[in-house]
Amino acid sequence: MISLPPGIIILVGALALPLLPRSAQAIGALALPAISLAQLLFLSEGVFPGIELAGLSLLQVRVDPLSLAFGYIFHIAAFIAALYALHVRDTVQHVTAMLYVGSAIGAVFSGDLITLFIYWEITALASVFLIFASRTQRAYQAGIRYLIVQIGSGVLLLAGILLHYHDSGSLSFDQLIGPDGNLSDASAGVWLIFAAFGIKCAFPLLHNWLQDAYPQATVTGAVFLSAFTTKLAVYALARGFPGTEVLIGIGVVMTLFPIFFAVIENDLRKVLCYSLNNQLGFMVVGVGIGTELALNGAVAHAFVHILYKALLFMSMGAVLYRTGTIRASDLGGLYRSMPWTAAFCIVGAMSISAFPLFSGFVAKSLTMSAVAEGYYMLTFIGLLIASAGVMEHSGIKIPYFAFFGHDSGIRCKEAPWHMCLAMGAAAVLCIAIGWFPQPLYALLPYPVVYQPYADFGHSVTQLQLLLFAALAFVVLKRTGMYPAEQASLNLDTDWLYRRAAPRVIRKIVAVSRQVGQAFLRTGSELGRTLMRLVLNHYGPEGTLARAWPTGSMVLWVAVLLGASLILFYL
Amino acid sequence: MIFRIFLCLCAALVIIEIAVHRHVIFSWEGWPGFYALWGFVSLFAIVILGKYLGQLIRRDEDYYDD
Repeated sequence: MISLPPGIIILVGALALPLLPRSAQAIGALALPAISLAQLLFLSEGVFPGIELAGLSLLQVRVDPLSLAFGYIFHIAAFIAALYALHVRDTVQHVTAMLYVGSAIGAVFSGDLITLFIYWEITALASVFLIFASRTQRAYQAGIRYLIVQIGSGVLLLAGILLHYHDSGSLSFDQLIGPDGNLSDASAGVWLIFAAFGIKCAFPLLHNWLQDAYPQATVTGAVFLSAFTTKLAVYALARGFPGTEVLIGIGVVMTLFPIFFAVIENDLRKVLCYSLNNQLGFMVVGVGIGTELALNGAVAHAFVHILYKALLFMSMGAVLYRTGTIRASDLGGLYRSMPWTAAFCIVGAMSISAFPLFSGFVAKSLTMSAVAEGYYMLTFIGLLIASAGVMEHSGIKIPYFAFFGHDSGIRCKEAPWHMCLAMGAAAVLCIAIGWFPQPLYALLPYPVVYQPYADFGHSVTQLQLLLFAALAFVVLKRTGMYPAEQASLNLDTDWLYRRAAPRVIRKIVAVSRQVGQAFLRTGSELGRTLMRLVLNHYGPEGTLARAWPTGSMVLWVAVLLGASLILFYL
Repeated sequence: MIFRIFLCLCAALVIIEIAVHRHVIFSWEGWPGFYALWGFVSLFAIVILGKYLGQLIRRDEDYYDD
């Protein structure tokens, strides 16, 4: 059992889940990550050969601190999400959720690029069923769009791997970028792999599949989705592209632009998706700087982010589950009905905002120190603005509009016990990591000398930043300058392929149809004129087809004969 | 009432800052009250800019449904 590649137990177990009675499937899904985690704890570090195929070693397993850190958190997230989904009686969701988890874990431990590609595609195929499982028309269409983007990323990855293999003769999944971190010197294959990772990591302009698809997922499906796909991409970037300088710029843009969309978004799970996008930016900056401190920051951020983002998705999922809506314009005042969910949500909100003594603070401080120590001043300023943005949409907006604000009059039951248990577990971890960051730091790929609470001034200034941002919110709210929530939808880059592209295609079809019709019309007009000409000469009434009387024929023959006779005697 | 406590907390933070030693890398980080002002202005600007963005891109909920 110990020599099995990580993730395989969950994958095989997922396929066996339908054999269980329907009521036991959820418990089976809960057991799988626990068993797999037990296996992981016994794995020793190193690269283990897989199967030899056509001279290539495939299905390699690499266990090192980087893959282990992601492996542990993926297991913890899978367990918490499965606990949250304990009430679900839907075989499709349990099976695909576990296939998704197993393949994400498998991808993290893959030592070669082909194995990575195989798992990369399974995550895409399995996860889309968590969107389809909502069984609405909108979810179906969003799922199809999601699948096209994800499979597209897989195709780019495969093409990139093949080109890279052609150039370098290596399939091993190591650092792909050169030591100077300059992408423009890299080969075409490496570029394609970078683009494939970028799509999954929701780089700016490639991001919108995330905000399009995740809010359409089921209550429990969104919790799974929030944890794995994008963090797998962060892992892949940390593995293949540490120190790639262009990532710093990409990351800063990623932290900044989603916050404006989050301000005006009405669907609170979509707000969380924009927030997720913004958080990924911090990790991408860390990978881009590429120093030991920065990479530690990226990994630590991914670790704690999975917990508090899952916690926030769980709390909003519980609201959706109990009230049937997640629109900010329909919600408010729910703390009366769902006090526990509200409390857990606030813990998640304070963690993501990086309040001192919460998990976000101990992780984000690593990245921020790495940025400052590298004297990336503009990046530092950008991330400070983004930090205020996180406070706005995740720290204040999510809990305020769902649980406080104006009373919507909705009175419902508290979330079911297992949801509260799952949220409680995540909340306890968020606080525990905030108080005692050392166990987390011990998991990071490089030794950590950083102590987040050694500099008391840092905690004070961070609190200043957050509380004065909150003060600005209060001022905006009191003066009525804060935009009112209203049932609406905001355009994003998905407009390009949902509206603009179909419109352009429809236009092209219409124009070419018109051109074709004009062509046909002219053609038949020409043909008709030609036929008329032919008919005039050769038709039944035509000159050459005229019937002549026999008498005139004889007369003309006689004339001709006479004429030839005269010519003969002349 | 809560608002007053909140205001006191904010004020206390600015006062504490002067008393504690700060480890700064960029000189402007060390200006007293810099983070407080930065947090306030950032959020204010984000919301106002977001509002304008909303006027530009806000549509009906069933915009894509037809």
